[in-house]
Amino acid sequence: MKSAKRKDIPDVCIVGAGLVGGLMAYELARRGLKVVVLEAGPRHDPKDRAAYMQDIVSGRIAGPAWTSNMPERDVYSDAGEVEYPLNWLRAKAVGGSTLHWGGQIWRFLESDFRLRSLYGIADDWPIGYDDLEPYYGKAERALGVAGTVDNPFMARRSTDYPMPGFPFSLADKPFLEGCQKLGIKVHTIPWARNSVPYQNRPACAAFSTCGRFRICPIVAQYTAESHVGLAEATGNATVIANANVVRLLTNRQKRVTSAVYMNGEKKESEQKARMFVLAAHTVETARLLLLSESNQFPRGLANGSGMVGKNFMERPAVAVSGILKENVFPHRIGFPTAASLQFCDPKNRHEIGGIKMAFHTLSDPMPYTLARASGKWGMALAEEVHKSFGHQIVAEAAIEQLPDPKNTVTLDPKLRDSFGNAAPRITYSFGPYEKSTLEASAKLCRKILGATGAEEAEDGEDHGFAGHPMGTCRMGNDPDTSVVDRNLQAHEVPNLTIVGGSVFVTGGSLQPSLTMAALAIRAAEHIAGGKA
Amino acid sequence: MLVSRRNFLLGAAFVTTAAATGAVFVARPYLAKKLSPELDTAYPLGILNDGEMRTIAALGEVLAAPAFEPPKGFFEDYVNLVTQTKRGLLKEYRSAAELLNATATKLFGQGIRKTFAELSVSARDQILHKLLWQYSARDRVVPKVEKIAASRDALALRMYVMEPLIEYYYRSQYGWAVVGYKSFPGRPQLDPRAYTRLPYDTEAV
Repeated sequence: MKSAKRKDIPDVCIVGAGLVGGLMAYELARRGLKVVVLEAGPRHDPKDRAAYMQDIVSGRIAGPAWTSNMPERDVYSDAGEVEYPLNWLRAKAVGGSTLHWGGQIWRFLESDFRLRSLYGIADDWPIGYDDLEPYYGKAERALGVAGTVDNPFMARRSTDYPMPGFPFSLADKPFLEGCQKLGIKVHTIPWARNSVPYQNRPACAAFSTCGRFRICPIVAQYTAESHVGLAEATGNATVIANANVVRLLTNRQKRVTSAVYMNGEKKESEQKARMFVLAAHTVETARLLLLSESNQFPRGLANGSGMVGKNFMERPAVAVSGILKENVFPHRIGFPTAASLQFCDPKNRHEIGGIKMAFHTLSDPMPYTLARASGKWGMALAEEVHKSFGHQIVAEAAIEQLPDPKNTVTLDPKLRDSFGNAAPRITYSFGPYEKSTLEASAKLCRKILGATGAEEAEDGEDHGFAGHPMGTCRMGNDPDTSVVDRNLQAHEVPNLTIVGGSVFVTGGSLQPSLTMAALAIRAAEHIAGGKA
Repeated sequence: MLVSRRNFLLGAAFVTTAAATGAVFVARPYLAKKLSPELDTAYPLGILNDGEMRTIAALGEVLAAPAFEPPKGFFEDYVNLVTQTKRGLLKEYRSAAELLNATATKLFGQGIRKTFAELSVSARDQILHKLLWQYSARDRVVPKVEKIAASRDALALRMYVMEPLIEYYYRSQYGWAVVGYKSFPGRPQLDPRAYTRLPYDTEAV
């Protein structure tokens, strides 16, 4: 009887069904491991997406339901100099943040892994670009990346993009011409979005809703629901939605034995497994480890080093907009098609961080924004909207932030979520490095806009965020200064693996999603004992 | 003791400023209420009656671009949705209908009750001009003048009825047609690579 029960225990329990949780589930399940995925949010049916999109586009509903649909559960506090809009940037549901992501998907540069060696700042990763290169290729094929090899700043690649890239838009023309005058190389952008039918998903039909409205009605843009579905199709994976994991329990051997989770009705359940994978977002992963303190782990699970929750990073961003005389006819595709990585690895990177330039021609104002701002109606309004629409362009820079142990995710001493657990407290500030880089970025944006002939409309004084939280469970070779090893296994807990942006040592200036995916595939291979 | 002309003027300026400041101070609650009309969230949810809805639909016809009129029922669908889901809006839509009909009678009734909906689009447009000002998005002065000069109900008409209806219209295919687009966010391009070229329908307006 006892052995029968043991047989029922799944091999792996994954916390989180987002980008890396979904990929891990599939990679493990296809190798024959029995997997249970616990997802805090609900499951949305992709079939509902078209009607859902129409409601958002028409303004009948304010925005996607997957953005913090339970505010009392998702409470958090801010304690730093810079406010961090956590709930605006995350999504709790099967699919995670890929439900509302942009889908821009870059490999990191070789230098991004070696900041200490090359520039004497931050730390090197315990792995390098060459270690990850084959997995970048696997991740590109898994997610379905459409790209063109036209970028002189990227590192070598051993495989082609699985789909042809998206060409420049007509609206990119002013940037292409302006940057050429300045000697800045502009190239296309790789996207996790089908340019041709791929993996049972259709090609992009230019609904133009993925950027502004954060929804693709035909799921031509990748969401992690794909891999969750593929994992289930193997017959080896089960997904439990609305399962909010609140604690990981351990035994005397310092192994995790089960995940305690609560459903929407606050009913407590327990999921046992032989191995556990945390794929629960940079903030929640750290919080869950801290909540899982015990006699053996008094500072929190896997936190003997005290590094859990430390070195929280983002990709701060600035945008400068300008008005052109000519109409660039924007909003005929939902995503930007031009960028420049020329400033991602500057020679003086010890002083100024990497800057990734993107050129947006699908920004506000939309016709309805123009119409609402005007005080006219009827024909007079139609003439004003027609005359004003399509002239705005935006140069946007996302920058590199260095890890800083003072930027943290901790447990709030007072604030509790709807389950009675300590809410996350985010202490976040910019150091001199980030401030200088933001200043240099705004200057660069203005210079490029000037070269396009645009009249400056907004000066880029305010910063925003790209929505890519990283750090909090950094990887490293030294258990005293890191939480997980080079294979993402927790130093102190042999059956616990952590995946996602939380394990990043440094953030770079490029979108982290492909690196997260590549690391997840590599970690799955390690868990499965190298089985391909 | 004689008061010099300079001191007299200074004194007068001081008294005038003090009186104006006092008046603004006293009128502050009234001004705040008028400048930003608030929704009565205690008012129940519900739908407009047929007459009220006809008035609002007739208003929609004045707000839309004449060349791109939406079909019958377009504005009604939206109004029914919001008055049943957001508290306070039903009251504002009712007040708006009442204001428009009252102004219709006043301007065009000649002693007989007139409804806004039975007037021509041009006459309805005149009614809006009577209640509100037209100004461009760049105008910084006229909106402030309107806030002072227009009635609370007229300002609420703009804020809670006209602006949302205008936004709803310009989010739709009819609004996108104003800028020459047949394909727009929410409707796919016939050719997904059309974004690389000039649109073929740029001369639509």
